[in-house]
Amino acid sequence: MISKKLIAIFCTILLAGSILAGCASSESKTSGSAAKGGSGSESDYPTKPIELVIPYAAGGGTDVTARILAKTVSKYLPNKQTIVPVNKPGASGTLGLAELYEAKPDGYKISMATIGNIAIQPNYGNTPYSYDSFEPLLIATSVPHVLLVKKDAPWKTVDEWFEYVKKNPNSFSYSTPGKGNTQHLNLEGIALKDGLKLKHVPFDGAAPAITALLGGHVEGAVVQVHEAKPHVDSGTLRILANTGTTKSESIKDAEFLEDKGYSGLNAWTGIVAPKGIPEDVKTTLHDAFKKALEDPETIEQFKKIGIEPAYSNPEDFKKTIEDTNKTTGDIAKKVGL
Amino acid sequence: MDSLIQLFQGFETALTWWNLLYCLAGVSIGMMVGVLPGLGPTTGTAILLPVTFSMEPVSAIIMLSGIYYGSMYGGTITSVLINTPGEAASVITTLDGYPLAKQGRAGTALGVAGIGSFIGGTISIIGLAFIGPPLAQFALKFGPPEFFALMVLGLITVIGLMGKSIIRGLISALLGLCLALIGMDPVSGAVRFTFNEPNLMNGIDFVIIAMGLFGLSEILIGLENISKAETPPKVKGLLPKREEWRPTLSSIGRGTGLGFLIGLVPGTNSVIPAILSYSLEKKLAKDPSRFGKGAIEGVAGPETANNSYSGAALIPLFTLGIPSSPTIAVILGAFIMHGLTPGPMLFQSNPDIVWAIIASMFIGNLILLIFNLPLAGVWAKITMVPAKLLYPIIFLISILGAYSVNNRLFDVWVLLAFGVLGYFMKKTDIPIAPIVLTFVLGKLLESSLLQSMILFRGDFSGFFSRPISAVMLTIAILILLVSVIAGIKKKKELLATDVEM
Amino acid sequence: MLLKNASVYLGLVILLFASIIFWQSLEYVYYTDTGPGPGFFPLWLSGGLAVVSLIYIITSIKKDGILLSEIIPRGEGARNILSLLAGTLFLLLTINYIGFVLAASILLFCLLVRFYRWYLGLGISLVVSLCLFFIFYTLLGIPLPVNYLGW
Repeated sequence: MISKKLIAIFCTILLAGSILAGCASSESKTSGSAAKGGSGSESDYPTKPIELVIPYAAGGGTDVTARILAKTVSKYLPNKQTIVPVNKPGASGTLGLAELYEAKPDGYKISMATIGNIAIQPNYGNTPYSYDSFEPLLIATSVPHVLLVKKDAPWKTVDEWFEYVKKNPNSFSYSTPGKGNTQHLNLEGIALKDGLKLKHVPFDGAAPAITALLGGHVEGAVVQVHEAKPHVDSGTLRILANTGTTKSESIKDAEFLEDKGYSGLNAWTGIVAPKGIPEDVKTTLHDAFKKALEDPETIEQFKKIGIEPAYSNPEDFKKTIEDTNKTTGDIAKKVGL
Repeated sequence: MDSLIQLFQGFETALTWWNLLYCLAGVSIGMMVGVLPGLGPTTGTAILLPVTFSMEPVSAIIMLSGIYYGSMYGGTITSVLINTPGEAASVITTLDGYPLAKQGRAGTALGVAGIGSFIGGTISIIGLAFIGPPLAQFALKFGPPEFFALMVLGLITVIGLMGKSIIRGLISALLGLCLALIGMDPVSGAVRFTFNEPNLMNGIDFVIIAMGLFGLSEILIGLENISKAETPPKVKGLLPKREEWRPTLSSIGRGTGLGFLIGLVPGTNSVIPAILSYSLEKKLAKDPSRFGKGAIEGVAGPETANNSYSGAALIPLFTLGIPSSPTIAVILGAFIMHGLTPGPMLFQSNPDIVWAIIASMFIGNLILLIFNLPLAGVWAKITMVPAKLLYPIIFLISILGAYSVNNRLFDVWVLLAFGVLGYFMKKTDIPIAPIVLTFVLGKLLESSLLQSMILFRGDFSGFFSRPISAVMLTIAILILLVSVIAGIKKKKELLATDVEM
Repeated sequence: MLLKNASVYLGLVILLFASIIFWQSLEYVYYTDTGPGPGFFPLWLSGGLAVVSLIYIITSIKKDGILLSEIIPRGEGARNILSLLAGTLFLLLTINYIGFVLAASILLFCLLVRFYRWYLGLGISLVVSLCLFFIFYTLLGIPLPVNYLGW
């Protein structure tokens, strides 16, 4: 009997305590913001932690990038606020962005955006948003894709390869991390220029795509440069060409297809906010992330995973999204996706 | 010989206090995420990955791999005790583990699973240490056609597991295959059967289906019959009876081999060796009818196989730099974050680190054995918690687990739907296990077929032009033929006895 | 007799599901020049499922059907299940506003109050919810829905 009473008392206290605590904290919050609001039009953003949506699974490339940034960016945010990364994976990264699309434009929810989920996926009509539904803040990283072949592949240079695929349509097989993905459109876009015909074998992710190449089940693979790097360094695979839009420090010797007049695609990752956030909030966020990108700690951590910071300002970011959306849309139409 | 010396040096590093502590932390967290339904090794490692950024490389990877193999031990506990698989590989364990628990032999089931896991885990690590590289090279021969053949073999095996009514079994199996079609197909790029629901674009998660069909339906039935709930029988000993030792040990041996071989192949998952091991045990048993009613081999084989699998699945990572599952991809991420490149060069460039990690896995498996054997009895006491308290709490944990898969409430709705489906399936005697098993195989089956057909340019005979896939497909066809013939014979006998009666 | 046969109803539900999938799969490409298209598998699988569920319905009409009255919960059991479902629906609909701790406590309380005295049920509900909140939200960092106050 005594124990029951004790429990009853305990939970009453618990309940009362939690209610009191709740009231107290809400009171302090409202009074705090009222005081600041009264002091003038100067914004006091941010007053609480900012949620950074990561539309991909925990542990993946975008996730690691986002978490590295989130850690350093907190140093540069006013009012000692922090960024809280939240994974909302699914549907090629479009679910997380769809959630941001519905969010209030108050600057407390922002999201990672990649070439895939913001520029390419809207072309396929499965997203509630379109490529211009967001307020781009900045591009954080950008890495080129590469065309990989086995070490002992018959093509020594990319020109030899071009010659081979011209003569043998529909025979060169290559793997990518998925149909209609950036990597697929990248190589098909290059093939379109000379009217080349390739055999595309999609896999579910970069790792199985590379595995298929290692096992010799396909003759080539298109992946991001840092995914290829370990295998290139160990000598099992060889980079035939850089199919991106920028040269990369880590693969200086690779032939750069843009030099030959082909237009490539880079895998870029940026940060976007809902449309209509206040101008000063946008500036605060942009500045903090820009400083985080320049922080030596970030550069060091990025280097470890094989990527480099690649800053673009909001205007350029906006233009990049627009252009990529258009070019990839054209490629997708031409290859019949 | 060299390897042995290096392994001893590895033990020196792994046995330092800090590394021991990280190993202990890793396996304990692994056990915990394994026990909690819905949380699995992928979530566990991914959540802790950022924490390891600031640690020593060796310690970081020791801890993350501890989570990985530790969770395989943990998943068993809930499968046996409350018929809810804690992670994917343990679905099979429910088939015989739960009946054993009902007979008061939960301790034995957990004990045998612990011993089997230890043997399977340890042997596969020995394999990793000494014969890894050549084996991994061989496993690369598994391309899409071989994968397709393996999946067909797996499917045939599932059909072979069906008991009393083939029609009810087929309903379940086909339902699982149909459910696997939902979502975006990575090969054709088509978005199918999502009914304009964006949350279905990625398909339904396996964990949620398994939790709903097994766990939630069990809770519903339990709550319904709570007033007539029998007090669970007292937990007896941890070890099998004397006459059970021999069959148990041989199923552990077979499970080790099976799990090891399949673990070598990148892209498989831990459910496949468990299914194959279970059906192998059932086929080899003197009295197959005991299976499903609490056969100890039905726990020993699959549990060993999934632990042996998880050790062997690290071989492609260490020797080729290929992650064969999402969890291992996170561990690969940890390697890279710390400036290490897994692959053929790893053993040469950083032998100290590799051998320390391998040594830590021996230690970790030993810790897990210690955790599990004496504690099996303690765990088994969970069944003694009154049902009226146990069920609501487990229900809430399942909700949390379902939510945590993708951090969205939609999955909790799905959980609820499958719980209700499972409830009615159990009541109408339609087997549940085939749904989840074919669901896992179905996705791989379709994409590997489509990939192969692109490679063969639409020529189906290509499957028989490659030796591995040809052999496996032939075996599959033979099994099917034999069981069809046996089935017809049995039918006749049954009819005959019917007449007699 | 037919109307009371639970197997028939379950069979019909499965048949309906199979038919929807079958109908939808006609929209996808059945065969491409490189082999089966995205419509190939769904068509055969759902077709097979439809056939098997039909056979199931027929056999359960003929002999081994299970009576509806045997599987629909009644009395105490039905009320337990209904409170679980009601509690879960409440949780799903309100958790985004009132936060995990409160919603989960209410769900647990719905169930526990049936077996325990109310204060005991309330106590257990609060303690369990807070513990789980601590484990999942604080320790594991899973972004559970929280209310305005942060719990």
